[in-house]
Amino acid sequence: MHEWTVQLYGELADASGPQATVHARATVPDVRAAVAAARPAIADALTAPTTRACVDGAFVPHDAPLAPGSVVEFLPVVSGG
Amino acid sequence: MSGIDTRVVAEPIDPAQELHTFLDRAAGAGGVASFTGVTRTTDADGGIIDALVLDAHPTLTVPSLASIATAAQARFALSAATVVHRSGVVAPGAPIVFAATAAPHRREAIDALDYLMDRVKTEAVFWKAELRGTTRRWIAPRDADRADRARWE
Repeated sequence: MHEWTVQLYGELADASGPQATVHARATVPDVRAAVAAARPAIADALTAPTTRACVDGAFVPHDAPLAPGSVVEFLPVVSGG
Repeated sequence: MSGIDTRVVAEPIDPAQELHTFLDRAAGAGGVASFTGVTRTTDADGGIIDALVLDAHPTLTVPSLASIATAAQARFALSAATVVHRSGVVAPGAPIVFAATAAPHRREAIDALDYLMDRVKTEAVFWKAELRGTTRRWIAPRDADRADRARWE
């Protein structure tokens, strides 16, 4: 288990702020599930297939592994400008 | 000087100043087109909104604008293009986006601006909410926005 500080955007950040700190194994789905468990109000939006994961500044597949210290972000569908 | 200039700003946009600056950059072009988007006072159902809130990404939003502007430049042979977009809380009536294009002839400049804005409205990395009091309603591109975007495929 590792500690992750996860950055959230848009509606994901609305309920409890743009950062969530969770403990999870080093994969994107594990971190996503940990954030969803910690913030039930955004669980549906967070686990929607359209919500993308971004690790160290690059989009990654939904099941990507993580290296300790990686910066993890979850991005809902963009609104456009 | 010419080329692509894309920015996300937290301060108010001054469209007149932006156009003035762009005209300097576009020296030599035969056609310059510009667009200013202004925050509406109502939502799609006619309800009054207090403001729009734009959440931007620190490293992805500007590249998303640059990618769109670069595509417009390549597609329409532009000599220069700019997009300046607000982030944060934008009051009704305030400019939310300024875009401009420069080309040898007017048709390319106008068409490129239309293309560029259709893509910005659907693809730029922003999360946008209508603010009423302390309540935010997050909004997605409308079907009409997607239809506008599809015209260019």
